[in-house]
Amino acid sequence: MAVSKAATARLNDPNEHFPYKKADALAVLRDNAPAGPEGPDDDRATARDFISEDIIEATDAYITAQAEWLKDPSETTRANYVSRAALLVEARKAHRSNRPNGSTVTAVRSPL
Amino acid sequence: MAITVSGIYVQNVVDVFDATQLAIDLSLTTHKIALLNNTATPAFDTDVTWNSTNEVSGTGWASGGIALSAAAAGGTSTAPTNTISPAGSFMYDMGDISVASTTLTNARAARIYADALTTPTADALIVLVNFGADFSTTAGTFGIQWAATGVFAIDLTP
Repeated sequence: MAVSKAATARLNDPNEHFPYKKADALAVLRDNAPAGPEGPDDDRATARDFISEDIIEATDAYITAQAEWLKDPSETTRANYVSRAALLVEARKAHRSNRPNGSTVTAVRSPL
Repeated sequence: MAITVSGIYVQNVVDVFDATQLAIDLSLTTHKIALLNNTATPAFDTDVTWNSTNEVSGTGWASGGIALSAAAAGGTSTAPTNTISPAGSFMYDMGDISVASTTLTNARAARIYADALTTPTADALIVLVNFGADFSTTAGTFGIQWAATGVFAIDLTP
């Protein structure tokens, strides 16, 4: 299959997510360690409430597979893209296993 | 005048499937997520385009919203996915929203829209998520933790 102009434009769009900022995602986990129950920040959400290392790894693989599909649309790259999407969804589900069946908003105030 | 439910913008769905061929690619990360206050009254059958009426914006969250490519923890991509989950259902999902250092007042809902789309419908609305209450931040993180079922899931084989 031929590469479409739309796919090329998407890959070159600076406002798109290629490549994934994996180092930044890992840094936010490292620099925002969970607070202990007796700690001063125990009522604040932490980065790990929003993302996990498994999600970071799966996101990186998904975005890479998406880019490969856009660059080289073939049955092989398509299958890998679909597979990586499913694995990313599974990583998110594992992270969200204890959540209620609805979205939750966390508006975190800074320490006073 | 209030936001009472979440929903998908129906006219834009119609336009995706009919001869209009509205080109909404839900995997794009140039789509934006914007916030609304509770003065808004969504009309899911007729609202098609994002506008700034009743918008909530502030420090760390510009008018027009945050691109999905930078709305996850650490300013990274939310990596939207379109998958079959559970069997027979279409699920639109993405990483949790986590935007640090925001000061926002009384956000009641979020809207995701196609910011890069200009024709035939500019800034086409996709989905509104009702928070059910007002949320504010003061130099803090504004986060949305999506449900296990994603941003939305549609059972196509009921």
